[in-house]
Amino acid sequence: MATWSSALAAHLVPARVLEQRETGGRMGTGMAEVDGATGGGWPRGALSEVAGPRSSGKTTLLLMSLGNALAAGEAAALVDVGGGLDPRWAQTLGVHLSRLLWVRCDADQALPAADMVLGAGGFGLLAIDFGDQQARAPTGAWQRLKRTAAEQRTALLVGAPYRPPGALGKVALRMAPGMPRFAYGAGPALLLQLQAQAQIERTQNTNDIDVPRELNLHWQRKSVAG
Amino acid sequence: MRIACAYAPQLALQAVLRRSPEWLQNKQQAIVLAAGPGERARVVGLTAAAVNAGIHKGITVNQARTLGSARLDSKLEVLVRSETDTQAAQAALADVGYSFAPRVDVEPGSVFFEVGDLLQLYPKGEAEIARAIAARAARLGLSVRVAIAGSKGIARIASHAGQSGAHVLVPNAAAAAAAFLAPLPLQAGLQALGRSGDDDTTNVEQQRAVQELATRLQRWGVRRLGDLAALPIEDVALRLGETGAQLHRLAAGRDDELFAPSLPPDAVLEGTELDYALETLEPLAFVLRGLVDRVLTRLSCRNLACSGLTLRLKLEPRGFDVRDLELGAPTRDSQTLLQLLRLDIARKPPTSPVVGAEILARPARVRAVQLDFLRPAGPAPERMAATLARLGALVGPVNVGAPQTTDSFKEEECQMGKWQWSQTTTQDKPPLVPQLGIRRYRPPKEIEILMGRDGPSAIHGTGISARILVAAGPYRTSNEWWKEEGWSRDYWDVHASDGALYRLHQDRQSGSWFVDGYYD
Repeated sequence: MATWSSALAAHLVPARVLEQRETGGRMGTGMAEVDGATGGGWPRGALSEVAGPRSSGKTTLLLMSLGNALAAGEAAALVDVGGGLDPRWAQTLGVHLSRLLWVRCDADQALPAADMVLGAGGFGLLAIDFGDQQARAPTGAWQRLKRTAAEQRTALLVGAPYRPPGALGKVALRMAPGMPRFAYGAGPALLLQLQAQAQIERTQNTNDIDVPRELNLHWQRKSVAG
Repeated sequence: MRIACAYAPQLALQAVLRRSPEWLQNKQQAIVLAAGPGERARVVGLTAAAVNAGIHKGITVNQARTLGSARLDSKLEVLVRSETDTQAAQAALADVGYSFAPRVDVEPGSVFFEVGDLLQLYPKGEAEIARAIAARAARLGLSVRVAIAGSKGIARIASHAGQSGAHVLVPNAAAAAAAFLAPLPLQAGLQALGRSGDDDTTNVEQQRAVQELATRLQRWGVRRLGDLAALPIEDVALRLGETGAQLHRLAAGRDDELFAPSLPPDAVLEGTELDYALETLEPLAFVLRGLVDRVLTRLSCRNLACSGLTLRLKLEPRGFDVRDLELGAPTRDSQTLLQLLRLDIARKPPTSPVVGAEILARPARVRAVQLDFLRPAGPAPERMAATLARLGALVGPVNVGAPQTTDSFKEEECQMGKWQWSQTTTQDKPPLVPQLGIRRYRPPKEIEILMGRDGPSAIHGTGISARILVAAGPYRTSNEWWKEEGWSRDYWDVHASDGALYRLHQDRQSGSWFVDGYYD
C-alpha cells in the first residue's frame, strides 16, 4: 500500500499548483489604473473578483471590462442577477449592445447559467454581476466554474457585495464608495462624479513593489441631464 | 448513368418497428402487423420469426394468435398499421437517397438516385457504395436491399430479387443485364412492373393488369425472365399489349423507364400514433424523445441541423394542439430540443389526452465559420445555438439575448433582442474619460420618503433605510400626457448615509415614491 502511495504521489498535482497554473493572457479592464495594478487586467482562464457595496463602482468596472473585450473583437457575456443592466448607460461605457450576450436570472441560476456559457467555449470574458445580492454557492460549484474557465481560456469576473466564500479568485478587488461630487448653481444640484477606493486584495503581481495596493477611482456622469 | 435502388420490404411493418429499438434488434421476436384494430383485422405484414411459425399474410389476427400460441415459445406481438408512421418511414427512406444525391426518385417502398459520381468518394467501387447506403438506412431504422444498375427498372428488379442485407450490382451493358435477369423468376419482373411497394393498395388497376399478365404467361409456360426475353418482342406485344412489351424489354436488359428526380422537401416530418391516450407529460416526453431523435438523425444524415420545429399533438376525441418553437441558431442537440418541448408543454399543457404526435423540423445548414488569423475565433455557431436554447430553458427564452434600448422616455425600459455572434470588431472604443454606470431595479421598488425643506431627507424601503445627505433634483420628465396611461415623474439623485447614490422618482399622479436603482 505504501509503495502504491509513493508511486501515485509522483503523478499527483497539489491543488494550489493547479490554482496558480497560468493559462496566459489578460483581458484589459478599460481603466488604466486597474490594469496597471493587476498586471494588465483580468487573467484569462481564471476567476477574478470585484467586491463592494452599492455605489462602489463595481458595475461600472464590469461594464467597462465587457466593453473593452467587445472592442477587441472578443465574445463577451454578462450573467446579470436581477436584470439590473441599463442598456443606455452601458452604451456610454463602450458596450456594443448587439454583441453582448445578456442573461437575466436570479441568484440561484447564475452559476448554472455561467457554466453553460463557459461550456460553449469561445468567450473572452464572462462577467457575473450579483448586484446587491450575495453570491451563495458551494465551493464545489466555484471550483467547477474555475475549471471550465481554465479549459476554455475565458476570463471569469464576478461582482458581488462580498467576495464569495470558496471562489478564491486569482485577482481580487475590494471596492468602497467615496464621496460623490455635485454641481450647484441657480437650478437644482447636478450629480457630476462618483468616486471609489479600490483595494487590491489578491493579484499575481505580489512581488512588484511599485504596484499600488490602493487605488482612487472616479467616473464622470454622462452629459445627459435628468 | 448508374442508378441505385434502396428497397425497404414491408415498409409499413418497418415503420411501426422504428418506434422501438428493441423490436428492431430482437430478430427472434414474432411480430405481425394488422391492417386495423381488433381480432378480425387481417395480417398485412410479419417478421421472419412469425413466418417460421406458419403465420402468413391475409389471415386474421385471431388465427395468427392461435398459430402463435401453438408454435411459438414467446408471445406473439400484434401491432396495428399506422399511416402516420408509414409516411414518416417513407420520408426517411427518401432521406437515405438525399444523403447521397441532391435529387431522388421516390416510389412507395423504394428510392432511386444517381450514384455514378460517388466513385470519387468510394474508390473501392460500387459494392462499397451499396454497403454505405444500407448502413445509412440502418441508422434511420430501416432495413433495405440495395441494387445498382444502369437503369431504374433493372435496379428495381434487382433490389426486389436480392436477399436482405445483401446488395446486387448489375452491369450497364444490355447483354450483361439480360444475362443477370435471365435466371430470375418472372414474379420479380412482374412485381417491379407494378411499381409499388408490397404494402401499397392504392394502385389497384395496375396490380390487376399485372396479375392478368402473370396468369397468361404462366399458361404459356414462361417461368423465368430469360424465357420471356427469348420470345420475339413483336409477338409478345401483339398478344400482351404495351405492358407485355415493357416486361419483355425489361427482361432483355433494355429498360426505357425514365428517372424522374425531385428535390428534397422543405421540412422533415416524423410522427407516430399511440395505442392509448396519454394525459401526463412524462410518458409524452418519452414518445417525443423518439421522434426528436429520429428527426435529428435524418437531418444529420443530410448534414443539416434543425432551425425550428412545429409540434402537432392529436387530441382525443378530436382536434389538434399545434405549437411552434424557434431556435436561436440551427442545432442537432436532442436534449436541448426535448427540454424546450417539455418546458413548452409544461407551461401550457394540452387540453385533452394525446393520441398522436408529429414533429415537423425546419432544416438549415450549419453555418461554416471562416476563422481569422488576427481576431479571436469566438463561439462555434452550432454549439452556441444549443447553449442559447439551454439557457432559454433555464432562465426563460425572454431572458437570453442581446440588450436593446427602446424608443421611450421611461428610463427603466429596455428589451431583449436576438443575440448572434459576429466576428467583426467594432469601432466603439471605451470612452477616454471613465463614465458612470447605473444598476437598476426592475421594476422600480416602491419606497417611503421623508420630505425635508430642500427635498427628500430620509429613505425607507425593502433593503434600504438611510438618511439622505445630498439630494439633487427634481428633474421633471413626462410623456404621453394625451393618453390615459400618460405619466409624469420628478427624478432625484440622492447620496444616502449608507454610502449609496440612489436614483429616485416620484410619480406626480399618485404621489408615490420609487427607487429606480443606484449609481455603481
